[in-house]
Amino acid sequence: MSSADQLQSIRTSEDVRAACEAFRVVASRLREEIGRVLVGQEQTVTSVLVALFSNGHVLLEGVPGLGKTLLVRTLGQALGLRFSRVQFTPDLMPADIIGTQIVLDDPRTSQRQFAFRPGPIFTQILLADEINRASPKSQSALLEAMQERSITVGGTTHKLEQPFLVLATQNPIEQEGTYPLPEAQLDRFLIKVIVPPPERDSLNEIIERTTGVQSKDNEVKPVLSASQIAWAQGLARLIVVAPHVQDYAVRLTLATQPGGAFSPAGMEHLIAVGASPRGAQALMSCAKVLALLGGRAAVSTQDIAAAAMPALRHRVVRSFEAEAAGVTTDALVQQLIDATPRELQAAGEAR
Amino acid sequence: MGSTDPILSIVRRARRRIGLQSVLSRFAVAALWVGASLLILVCASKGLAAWWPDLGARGWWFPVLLGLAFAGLALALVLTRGHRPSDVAVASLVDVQLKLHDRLSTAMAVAGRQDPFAAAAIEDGVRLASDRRLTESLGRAMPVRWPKNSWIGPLLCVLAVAVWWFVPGLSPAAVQAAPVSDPELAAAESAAQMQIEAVQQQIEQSPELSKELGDIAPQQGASNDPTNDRKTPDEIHRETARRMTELSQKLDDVLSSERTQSLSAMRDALSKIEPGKSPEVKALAEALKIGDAAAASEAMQEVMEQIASGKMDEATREQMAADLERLAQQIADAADSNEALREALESAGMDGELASNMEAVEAALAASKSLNAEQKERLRKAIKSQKSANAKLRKLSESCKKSCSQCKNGGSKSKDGTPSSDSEDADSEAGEQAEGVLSEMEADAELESAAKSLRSQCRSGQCQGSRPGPESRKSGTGREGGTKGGAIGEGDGGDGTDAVAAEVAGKKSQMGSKRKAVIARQLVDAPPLVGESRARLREIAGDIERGYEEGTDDDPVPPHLRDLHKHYFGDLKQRIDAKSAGGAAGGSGGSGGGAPPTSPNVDSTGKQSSDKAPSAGSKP
Repeated sequence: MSSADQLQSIRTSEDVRAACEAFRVVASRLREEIGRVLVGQEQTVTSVLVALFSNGHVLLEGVPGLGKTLLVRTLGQALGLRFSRVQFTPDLMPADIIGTQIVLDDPRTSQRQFAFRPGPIFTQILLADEINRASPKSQSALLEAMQERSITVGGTTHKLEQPFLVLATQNPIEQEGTYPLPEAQLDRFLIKVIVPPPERDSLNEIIERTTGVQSKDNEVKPVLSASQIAWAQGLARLIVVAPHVQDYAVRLTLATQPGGAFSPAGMEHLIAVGASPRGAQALMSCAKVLALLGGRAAVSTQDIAAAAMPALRHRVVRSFEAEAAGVTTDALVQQLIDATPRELQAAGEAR
Repeated sequence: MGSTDPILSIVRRARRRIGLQSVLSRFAVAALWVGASLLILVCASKGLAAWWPDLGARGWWFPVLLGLAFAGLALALVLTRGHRPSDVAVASLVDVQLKLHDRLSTAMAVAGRQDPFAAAAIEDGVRLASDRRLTESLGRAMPVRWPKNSWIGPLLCVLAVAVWWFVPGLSPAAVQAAPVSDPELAAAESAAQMQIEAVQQQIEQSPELSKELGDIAPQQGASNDPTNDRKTPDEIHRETARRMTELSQKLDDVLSSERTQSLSAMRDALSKIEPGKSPEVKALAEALKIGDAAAASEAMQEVMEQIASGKMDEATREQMAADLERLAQQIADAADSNEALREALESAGMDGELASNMEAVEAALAASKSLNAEQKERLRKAIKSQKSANAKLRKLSESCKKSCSQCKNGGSKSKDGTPSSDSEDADSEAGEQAEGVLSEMEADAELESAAKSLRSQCRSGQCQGSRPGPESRKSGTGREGGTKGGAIGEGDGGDGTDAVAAEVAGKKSQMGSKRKAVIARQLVDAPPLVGESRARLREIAGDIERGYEEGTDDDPVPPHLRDLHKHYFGDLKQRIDAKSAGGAAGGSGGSGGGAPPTSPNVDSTGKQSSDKAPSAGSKP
């Protein structure tokens, strides 16, 4: 039975509850499997799972050595999906990512013809390591793949295999010689996850695992297939969003627009550019998955508030004043979350 | 699909709490507004009562304000009912307060939908609402509390009532009820009363002055009691001082009137008379010389009696006739000299010789463009008074001449040695004429004397009337008072403004007696200095350097700019000199070459400068 058939078989509230529970179990198994290799970083793992089930891409930001690459590799192994890694460097060319046309000799006809050799992007999980080290030209090679999930080379469009997930990493320090991602590129990422340094217990365990005897228990096994992922992504689309909850997501997104009707007083001068409608879509997609991860069949404003930080932090551009004052984007988004009332508001009750 | 009744039950319960809380909040706001309005209006009514006594007496404020208060509260109730939140909104509020992940509000919102996911959400919400623990926690999560700062409104109301009842403020009733036995107030009243009575007494003593001040006297009398409408000693003092000032100004007018100026002109004219040898005529001449009209009148009487008696020997008679003739001539000459008018013309910048011809003076006055209206008016008055003085002097001269002819005729005795009736008539006519002039002069002198005396009293009264202000009381020495402070010196000072006014008036009077007009002079008659400096930079380089050092002593330069300032200003003179020397050697050229040495002028724009100062941004 395909994932679509499985979703159509949900007819009663009991089925819904069962599906929600199944989703929760699948997510838990996946989390456990990743946890065999990756110690700690629960919040980061959750965010990556949210992006996976929302069918979105993730931008991981953190200093070197926090396990970003390990997380992505482990995820690929746990999902049983094809995995590629591209190390972005300043001399990386778009053809190095998407592939190129090569001339082949046909031994039968003794004729030469062009043939497309696919690049590493033709995979299901792509790790774009240190994405900000490549030139904008190479970075933009990902644009079509991330948005359309297809690649056009030599006038021919090649569809990418589903699910397709790009997990890019970037280092917030060592900015010299890097190319900050343009806004259009950033907007393609569903969420941006800041990878925090491990805590005391986690670091102790990391040291024990990595510097001691290698255990076979730490080997990752595939626990989720592509069809199961498609089913989970489809289920996330079906869950209920009440109008007032959706309105909260809309108000929160509009609050990022400087000078807008819902922009909190005193914050207009801190934000240069707010989130686009794609930001509201990302917010809602993530909230739905968060509701399912919580075992609920309806999205709540708390889910939206929880999804707001990763979904909006890379879509809000600080003004010069905010930068000069040392106000971080996270602080701005947190202020917006705090300032936007969660309870139902009648039309015209802005601010 | 289950019923949402359990959720509605929770919503109703929450709605009651929300409504009650809302009513309390609006009551608090309404009470704040009402209290503040009440307080402001009560304070305003207290203040306005001083200017509009009927307002305070009517007391219609209170019912109006009570009505306003009730209207405000009623409005609050209406507004509360007008903002009834929907069921979903209440459920959403409950969800937020109890952190229920919007389960109740979502169930309410999707109650009409038929899909399994909506059904699951509704069932979830109903199951949650049916839990008794939720009902219990609702009270804790949504408590009904008195709004913050709700005490301010009632407090303002209480304060307003307290002000209404206990603060006397400026209401007229409070002023009337003020204790009259207040020693300071009583002393002020008494002093003001005494001062005014003394002035009035002096006016009554001088009929001439009383006649002159006829228009002001009733006003002065009508306002005998300056405490009628006054409330504080300071106000009484100020009112008394104001009246004294008015009277003093009136007396100034009297002293500068035609009568007194005419008297002054006569005195000036008679001051040059030479006394004769005859004792009676000598006494007359001396009395006229010093301007003593009463003594002159007595001396004239004696002369007339002496002539009429006919007991003089021939030599005495001839001497007296000669003296009288010379006196008559001197008076006539004095009348023609127009000395006072001459001085007035010269003071005004006109030709003094014009005084000999009154018509010419008037014509010159009419044609003059250099004199202002006030000066012209003053000169016209001087002409008038001079004419009046001349007329009187001529009468006096004529009288002396008649007496002289009588004397020459030996008193016009009849053959039996008794005075003839003709001679008696002539004597009487001459005597009456002289008597008239002299009595008029005497009356004018009395008026002048009384006015001067009263004016001096008024001025001293102004100073007395103005008691030391609060500032000077505090200062003690009265030095730091400013406009309200005391006069310089020890003691309790006084109102500085009045003291200065009296002093200025005194100076004006003094200046007037010297007959020298004060001519204002324009201090700066050159066009104002505007535009850019054209000073030679080389000449002022040393000043700039010194100025920098002095400036940095007074106002330290920020640390990060210290080096820049030091190099810029410290090396300025040296660099200018070097540049100028280079310019002189190199002749004209670009900015680096310098300007010709003959014209090292620099303007602030530095357009054609050779020794242009380095800019602030340039490196030293």
